[in-house]
Amino acid sequence: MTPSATSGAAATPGAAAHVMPRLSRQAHGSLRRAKAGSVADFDALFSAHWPQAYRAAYLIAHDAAAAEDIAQEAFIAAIRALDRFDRRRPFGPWLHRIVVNRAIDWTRTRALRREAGGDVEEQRELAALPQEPTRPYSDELVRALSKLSTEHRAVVVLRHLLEYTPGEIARLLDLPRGTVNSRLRRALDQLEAELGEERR
Amino acid sequence: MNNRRIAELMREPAPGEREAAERGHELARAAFAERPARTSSRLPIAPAAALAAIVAVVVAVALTPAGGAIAKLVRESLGDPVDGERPAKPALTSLPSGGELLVVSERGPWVVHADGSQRLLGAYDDASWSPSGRYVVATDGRQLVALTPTGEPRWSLSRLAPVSGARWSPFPGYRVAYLSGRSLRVVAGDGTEDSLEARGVAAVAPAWRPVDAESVSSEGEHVLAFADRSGQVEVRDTDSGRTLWRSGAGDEPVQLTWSPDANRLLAVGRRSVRIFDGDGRLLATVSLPAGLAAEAVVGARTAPGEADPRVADFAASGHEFALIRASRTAAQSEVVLLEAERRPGRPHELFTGPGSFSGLLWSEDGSSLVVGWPSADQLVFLRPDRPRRVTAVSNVARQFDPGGGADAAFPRISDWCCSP
Repeated sequence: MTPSATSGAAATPGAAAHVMPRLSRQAHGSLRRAKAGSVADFDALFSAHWPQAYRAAYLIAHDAAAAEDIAQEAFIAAIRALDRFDRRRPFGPWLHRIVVNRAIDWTRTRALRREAGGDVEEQRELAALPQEPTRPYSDELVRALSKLSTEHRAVVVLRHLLEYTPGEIARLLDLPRGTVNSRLRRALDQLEAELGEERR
Repeated sequence: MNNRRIAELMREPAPGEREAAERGHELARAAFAERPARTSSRLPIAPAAALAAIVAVVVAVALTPAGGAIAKLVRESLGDPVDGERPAKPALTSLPSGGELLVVSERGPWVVHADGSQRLLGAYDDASWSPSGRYVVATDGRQLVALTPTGEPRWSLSRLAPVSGARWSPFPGYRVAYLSGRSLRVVAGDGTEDSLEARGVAAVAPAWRPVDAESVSSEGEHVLAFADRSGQVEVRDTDSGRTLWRSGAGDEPVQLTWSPDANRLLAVGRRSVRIFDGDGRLLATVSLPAGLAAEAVVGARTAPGEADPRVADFAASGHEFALIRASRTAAQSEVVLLEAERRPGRPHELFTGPGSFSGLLWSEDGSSLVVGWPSADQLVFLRPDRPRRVTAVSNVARQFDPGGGADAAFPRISDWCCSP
């Protein structure tokens, strides 16, 4: 799927509503029919949007379980708001906004908890649960991305996976456009350096 | 390295993507199927059904003692004489405002569906919903357990001290706060990363500050109110550990409740209700006059893990809240409406009945208020905007403790989730 074919303008209130629409006629029809209750069209929307939502979450959070949760929650939220969508606008940007913000939030929180450490006594009390190991997405890319800050990863994912323009990213993340541009520039410089190192 | 190369790398499938898609699709399909049916003005069926429902409510007339009290309410509140007396339905066969209600009996928590059908989740002490209604967090002695609404455990934590007051954070539900003895703890929504937030807290369930699900931001969404034994209320961002505000000492809260817009926080004590604004300024203290203290509703905590009934609850919007007041002798109880403002106004009596009430809850859409009435063995559903719409359901204790016979205890209404 080409991201720009199905993702586009925001559908619900909020900053994302100002993102420029890029909705194809086919996606528009799927959304309208899904709103009317068509399961087949809902399935089409899911198939069109799931890979990007999951990959975006994964590339920011670097954790498969978290990516799955984030993408699932975003879809459930979208479904619950489906009847309120302005049907002239697709839900892609709204979905992506939730996914990216949730992934940033998850990553920051994990970092904070790691920094805070644990209460030894309380940790002893905790019945540890087995965790599913994750494997790398693409060694080259993941290693390079992991060197970036969460915020820089987010703008790179929005620009190069989800194909938003810097202006659209600024609106999606409630950031000044200049900040998006500078984050993108620094992130790409750093990625280039990291990926260059990989090759050497 | 150019931009195209980066984009190419990103288009490779991520690990676990296919399996996650299958699971995600299953969940999304289920959520899609659960969407309320859309009504259309072209179809005369919806108005007809609504009319039938209205007729059913109006026609239902019987002569139970509680029905008498409802009739009294109607007569007194509206000055509108009622011929005959309104009935109490013999069983809970539907929820007036839909959604799913959690009711905790001695058998454990029950999920009551909109059609009145109910399912026992297991032998747990207490339970509350996750924000989307996809999970229930329950406590059982020293265990915290996340369940599906069908009672299937998903994860659990064991602690040394008894666990109580578990509350799931608002959308998207990434945290659960709970008490372990006198410690406040927070765990991620998947049961991992359990951590200590505070020690020496009051035995009151913590309250997450509501968020606007439509304007998801990456910060400030895991803000928790809790209290200590001196009655100080603290509001803390649990992600950063930063205290946003802390009140002075006061009546030790038995309940903390945020308004839906997060601009008001009620600290309900046994003898007073403190009203704070979102920044921690004390706007008003509503003293409960002698003989109308919340103490009579809450009573003494009898066992670890046993939750207090909810004494106050905000409506779905605005700053109006309902409050139970009861006489110390429990000869009479009342539900009143107040405004959480500097001048809360004169209490507006909504419902009065003999004996004690054991908790109240608004439906998520704010159209209905359910009140537990153990003295009459009834649940009473009120429509504050339409005072005539009072629906009582009797035989509640037996319904939630089948086989319990005459010894069945009246259950506690715990949480009401996810109205269509």
